[in-house]
Amino acid sequence: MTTTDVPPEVDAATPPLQRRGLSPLMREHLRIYAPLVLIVVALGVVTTVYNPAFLSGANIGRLLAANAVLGVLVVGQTLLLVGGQLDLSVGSLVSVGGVVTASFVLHGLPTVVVVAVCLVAGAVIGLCWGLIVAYLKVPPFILTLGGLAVFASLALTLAASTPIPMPAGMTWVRAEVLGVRVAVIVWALVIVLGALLLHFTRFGRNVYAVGANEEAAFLAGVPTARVKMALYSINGLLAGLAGVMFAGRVGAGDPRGGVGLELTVVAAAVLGGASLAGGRGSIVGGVLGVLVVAMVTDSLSFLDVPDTYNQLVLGVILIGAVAVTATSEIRRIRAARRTG
Amino acid sequence: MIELQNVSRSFPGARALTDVSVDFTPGRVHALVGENGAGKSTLIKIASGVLQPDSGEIRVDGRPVRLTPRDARELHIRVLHQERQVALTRSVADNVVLGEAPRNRFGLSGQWLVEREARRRLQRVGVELDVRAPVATLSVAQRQLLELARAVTFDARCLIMDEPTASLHPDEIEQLFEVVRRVREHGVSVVYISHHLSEVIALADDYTVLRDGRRVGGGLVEDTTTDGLVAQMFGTEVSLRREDIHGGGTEPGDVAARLRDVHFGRRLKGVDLDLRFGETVVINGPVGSGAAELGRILSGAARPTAGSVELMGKPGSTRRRAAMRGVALIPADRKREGLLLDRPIHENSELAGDAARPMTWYSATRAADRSRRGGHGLGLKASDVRLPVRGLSGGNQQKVLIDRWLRVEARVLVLDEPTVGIDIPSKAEIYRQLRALTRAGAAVVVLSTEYQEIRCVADRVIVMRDGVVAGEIPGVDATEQALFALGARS
Repeated sequence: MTTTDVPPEVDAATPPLQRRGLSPLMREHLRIYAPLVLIVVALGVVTTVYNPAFLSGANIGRLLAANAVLGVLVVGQTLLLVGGQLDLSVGSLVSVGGVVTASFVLHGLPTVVVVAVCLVAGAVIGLCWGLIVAYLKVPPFILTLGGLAVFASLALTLAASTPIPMPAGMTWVRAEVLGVRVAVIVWALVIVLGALLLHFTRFGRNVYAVGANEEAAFLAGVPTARVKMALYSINGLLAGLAGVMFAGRVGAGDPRGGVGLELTVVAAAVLGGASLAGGRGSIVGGVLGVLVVAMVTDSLSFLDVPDTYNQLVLGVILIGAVAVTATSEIRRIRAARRTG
Repeated sequence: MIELQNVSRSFPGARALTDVSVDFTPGRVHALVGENGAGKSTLIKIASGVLQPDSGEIRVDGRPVRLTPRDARELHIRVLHQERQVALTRSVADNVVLGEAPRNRFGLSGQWLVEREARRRLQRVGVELDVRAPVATLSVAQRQLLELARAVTFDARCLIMDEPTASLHPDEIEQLFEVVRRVREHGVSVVYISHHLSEVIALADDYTVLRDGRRVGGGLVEDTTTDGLVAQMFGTEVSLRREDIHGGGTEPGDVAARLRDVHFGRRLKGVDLDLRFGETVVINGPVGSGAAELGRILSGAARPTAGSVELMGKPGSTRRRAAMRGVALIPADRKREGLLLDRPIHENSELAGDAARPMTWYSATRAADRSRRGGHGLGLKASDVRLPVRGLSGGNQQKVLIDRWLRVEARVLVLDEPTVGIDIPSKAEIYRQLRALTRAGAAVVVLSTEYQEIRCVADRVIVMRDGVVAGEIPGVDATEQALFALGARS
């Protein structure tokens, strides 16, 4: 990024159209990130004081690996939310993905094939959601809620309601490269690719446009239907990947493994600044949201707080974050009106 | 009688009102004029209790008061906003009596009681509406009349109307004026804010001109003219005359768009149209005449139900393909159909470019730089292109939209009511910009019902009536009378 060249012949009366320093959008992002980072650090410090084992390399690696599935899902969900979309079926897709992975492994199919099948199947299911949302104009919430139920049932049926163990399958997920678990490396790759797509391509701008004002985007020539289909396909693909990773982590295909994941994912994305109304959010924010969720869950157990309190603490944090965002939003709009 | 005396108000970094005094007298229409940012909104916010003045006094019937929104309501001061507030799914009757449904002696409210009361109220202000119709089926104008009736029958003593004609067509404006005059006869003091100075002259009794937060003029409307008002608003003469803006044309070139026997449901019944590069064609016609639909079809945003559309020699299809071929569309409703209000200015001006090439890298820094250059070219007034576009005035928002299409070198521009709610200097700038584009070889289509606008930009005017082309007039001859004669003939 080079420094900006000053346009010629700007007389004093014309505003320069740009002030120095960070862009207002970047400042807004930082305002959202700061409290999340603060929560993560504070929880880390408190828990470490109480139990020094918390801040060990092994524990951090375990923490990240345990949340890689959630982390992969949050990238897809953030993309969707920014585009004004939503996919609640991911929880069940993870379950189905896990069951399919385990049963294919037991049938002796090679790893590459199993992974490919799961990714492609996920993407195809996502594409179907996209087609239905884009062309039949079914509200995403209802559609994917239906999908959630359908695939939950499918997972139970396929696995005959019991987890399918595969102790020797998908061990690569648990393996380590240079001391880092492969699951965490995969998660990192997904983050980087997702961030590149959303923040550094013009496709990403189209996603924001569709989320912010679909009609305006359409009239400006944005292929809104194609954008939506792409978003759902990407999310489906990531859900398939998450299914494989989940099965690999627990060493079994658990037909109930993904229950409730969809809500945790949406909560994490919203914590990270994504808005259910669309047009707002970032990949980094979503990932920070997952870290907050991970830290809360983990440090509470290190602090010997009964895990029945997990959801309570997360819920309070979510409500607080959304309330803070809403008030700062109101202030921002008022300020914009005044300067207008 | 409501008096504001020596009222001042400042905001962080800006002084919005300085020492303004104004009286609103019962039974008179008082027009507030001034360009965007002159302080009109601040003034009405103070008069309706939304904002408190830093200094100065508000007197109601000679008594000094401190107004809050609740006090203002109790004193029967009502504001009709640009964004209308009606319950869409309810009937007209329910909306008229909203919040104070009549009750019988048992304290119960029945449907026929509500309807009877609503009918009585509508009659009182001379509004004819079916009280059983759901509000969603009413036109914008009818909704406005409904709201007006509601406000008046709440025993308003002061009625503040903010740009009430922004989306009405001429017959509807006349109807609204009739109702306002009737309201005035009931002894209500009406405060009327409008960019259309001809409306001010036609309707108002008194006027006050604001400029940069100060009162720079005022008096009786009968003692002034539109030119006089413009001079007071800007301190200098801003011309909106054809001689000063149009600047002649070039020989029209190749055909940019060709429509043959185009039908669109019952809205368009067989329209033929040739649009050439290097000319500005104005399509004139009230709501329902098919003018708006024609604009949509020309830009690919709607598909004709029969007939053929050719854009630059190829059959037109979707909005996206048309946009890729350089057909710009600037809708009338900037906020709903044009802008991403909460996204930065530069993203708004880059949107067409981003849409055209999604599979390329994006850099916010470079996008902002391009936006600044584009903004300088169009005289955009904004402190930073990286701020949300919401904060800009209507005129500057429109410049952002024009910039969006200049960035992708659009060669056919379709603009629907391009200067609705825009102050006069910005209007003049936009007209000059459109003329410059036309001279540079673009094909420009302007859907307009504003005579001044038509006079300023048109090379030729196509008048629509009931879904067919009623006739065509060269821009030079497009007087108000000629257009009216053509549009009204049956």
